[in-house]
Amino acid sequence: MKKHYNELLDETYYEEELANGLKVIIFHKKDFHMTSCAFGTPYGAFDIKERSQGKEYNFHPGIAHFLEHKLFESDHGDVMNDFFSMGASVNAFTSYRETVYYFNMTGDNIDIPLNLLLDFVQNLNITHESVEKEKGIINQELKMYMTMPDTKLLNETFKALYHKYPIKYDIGGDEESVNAITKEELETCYYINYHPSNMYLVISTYLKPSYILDIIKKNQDSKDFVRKDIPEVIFDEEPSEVVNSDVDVKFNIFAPKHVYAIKLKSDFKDAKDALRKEWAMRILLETHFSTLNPEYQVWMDNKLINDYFGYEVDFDINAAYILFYAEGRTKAQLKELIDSSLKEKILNEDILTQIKRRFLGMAFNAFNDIDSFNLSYVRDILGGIDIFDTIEAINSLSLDYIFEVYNSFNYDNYSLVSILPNNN
Amino acid sequence: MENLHLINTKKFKTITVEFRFAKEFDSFSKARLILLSRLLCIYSEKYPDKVSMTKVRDLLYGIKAGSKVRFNNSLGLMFIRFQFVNPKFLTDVKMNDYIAFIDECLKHPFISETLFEEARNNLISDIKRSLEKPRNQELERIHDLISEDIKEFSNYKKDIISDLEKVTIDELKKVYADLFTDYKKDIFVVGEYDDELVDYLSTYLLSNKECKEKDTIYDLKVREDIIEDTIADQSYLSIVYQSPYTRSHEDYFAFVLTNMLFGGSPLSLLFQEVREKRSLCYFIDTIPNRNLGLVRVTTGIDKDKFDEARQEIDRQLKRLRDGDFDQALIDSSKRLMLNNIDSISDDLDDYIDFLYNNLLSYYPFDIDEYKEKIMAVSKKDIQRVASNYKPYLCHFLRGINNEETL
Repeated sequence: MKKHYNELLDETYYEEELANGLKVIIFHKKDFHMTSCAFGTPYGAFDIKERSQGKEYNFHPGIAHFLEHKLFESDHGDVMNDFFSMGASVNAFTSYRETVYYFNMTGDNIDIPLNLLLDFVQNLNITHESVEKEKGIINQELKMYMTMPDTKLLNETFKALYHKYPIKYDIGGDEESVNAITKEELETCYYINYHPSNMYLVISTYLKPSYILDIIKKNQDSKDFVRKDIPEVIFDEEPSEVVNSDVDVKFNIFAPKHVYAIKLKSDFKDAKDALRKEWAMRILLETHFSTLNPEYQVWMDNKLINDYFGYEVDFDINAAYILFYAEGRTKAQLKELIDSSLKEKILNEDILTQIKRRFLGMAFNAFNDIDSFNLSYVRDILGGIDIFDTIEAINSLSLDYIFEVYNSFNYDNYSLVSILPNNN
Repeated sequence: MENLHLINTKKFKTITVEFRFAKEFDSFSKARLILLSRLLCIYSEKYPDKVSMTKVRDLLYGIKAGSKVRFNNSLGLMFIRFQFVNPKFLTDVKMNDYIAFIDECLKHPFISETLFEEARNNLISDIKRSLEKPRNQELERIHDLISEDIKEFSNYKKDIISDLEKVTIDELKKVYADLFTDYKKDIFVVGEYDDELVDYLSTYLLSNKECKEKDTIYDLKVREDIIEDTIADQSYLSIVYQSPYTRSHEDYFAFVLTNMLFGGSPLSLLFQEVREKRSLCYFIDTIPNRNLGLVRVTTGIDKDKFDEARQEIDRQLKRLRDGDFDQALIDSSKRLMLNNIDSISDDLDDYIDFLYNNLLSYYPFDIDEYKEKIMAVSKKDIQRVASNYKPYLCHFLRGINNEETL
């Protein structure tokens, strides 16, 4: 096992890649009572078009999420019950970029649930009947999210921005795509995407790392995995123009909510390049659109913004966007506020130092909650970066670099999206 | 100092100082407390605006400082928390820098008319925004209905909006002053603290009041089912039961475990039957109120599934009463509860809450006793507890689309 020690954060972790390609990371957290285990694949809601062993596959939107639900099915029932029966709390989630299965448990008897985690994720066992039954549950889950105004606003925004990029579909798909998914499609999707060489197992525990690794190795050595290529995800070429530059949708809300969404060209060399540039942009936007900016109080006083106001930045190899959101007033006023502010040059060395210290403090805080930290870590590492890369990236940023990143983008392609009260 | 609770632990990279204040409240003081919590540690006399306060916090490596409010039946609770990176990790910030910041925030809060109005407007917007979610509308409606029968029942957001509009800045200043003189005060410190911090915090405990939670069991008349409409793709069903079980009851731990079996985990009867077997829902929650003995079940379903879901929930309660469930379910639920109890001290919020709830209760118990009492619960205990759940109210918030009549 390779040992890593980060002096700044006083954190030790161990890393090993097994013979079958599975990557294992173990954080040794001696003072905690809990062990948290997360087993993840970089297969998520984006990955609906793939090429594997020369063949092209088009899956229904929502299939990654559906598969996550179905993996809990075993030949004797729901695997969740097996975990809970041992006193281990298990769950899973699917996002656009990954699917993660995780449990936490106190006590020394970690071998049984850990083996169970590896076994159930590495074995799909479903029937036609169970697939059909799951559709009802998933459709209720989708309905639950779609009653939320913020979810509605985000969905409409992505649909307005992107012609092809699969972010325009909800992570769970929709009722039509969910109902169209079959047992055979789930099985195909699983066999293409769930291979240990593509996956990470991240564990935070007070138990000895060597003991944990022995459990994992014994489990994996007892299994055969057919060597296959890592599937290539195909993204259709996305035009730089948006689909719809102006969208209004009625919804059951008190106050209108708006998004000013800017579609950027993603020209990043790799995940670390995207990370660095994303942080550069984030720091610049934080300077303008937070309490760092004296104008923020003026906007509050003039009721141009309230506590709802904010922004999001997401840079990825395949797509990049910035979203600004606000409540009340109009979307034209939101755009005017953003564009005017960005014409000013506010960021300076003092503010940059200030922000860097803030984010370093956040990194320290992240280690307090062992479960949240573990999940956050596995998500990052599946994307090719981790918290230590992030801290290094932030610390390396200079003023010149930040302005260079900002100036390198074209901001002409945007959508203004509003959800408006329906007067009921 | 018995109200200074020191938890020395290396597990966290931060040090947390949390002041907790408690007092019996009247309904109007709810609004004042909530609004006050929006202004504390946001500004001070030395840092009277957002820019200067943001700067000092950032330079202290993002020290977290803020407050929140909670109400449980008879008590209003205010928590003021400071959380900062342990200075041992830093070369340019020392403990007395953090102490100076805490001192400034607590002794010199700054509330101007403008900031007061801003906080009030933001709070009202927040409440309205929360009520845009149909699930929250359902919860608020349940609280509304219960408060018709139980005056003290808390958290009715629409009432708070009208109260907020009447609060004045002088009233807020008085409430803040009262926190340190008229409220029960407790201070929790979690992390690798030092004597300097302890000595400083001790100065806040020179006078103290006492107060405890009140448990009250009401004999509520069963209400007719209520069906109302909202514009939404999903509908919400809530059933509230009344029981005699509060923290003071000898069957309290059996009550806790019964709720676990009823709907408190994915192993539970409600989860297995309503969701897994019948695919009627994605979530189904069972939430007990330990001061009033009420148990609320809420689930999100399709609008034409009201009868089926309702019957299924009633059927699962009958199974508990009749003992129509395996010992294996009890054993598994106990193991899960023990896991949750053992992990309390790993979670900062859970740990402080656990200790504090003991301070407020006439019936405290420590972690070992908690585990023992849960392990001792038998099948007969569960049946007995379930038999004492009496239906009280059933509410269905039916989601319809724009074209249908409201």
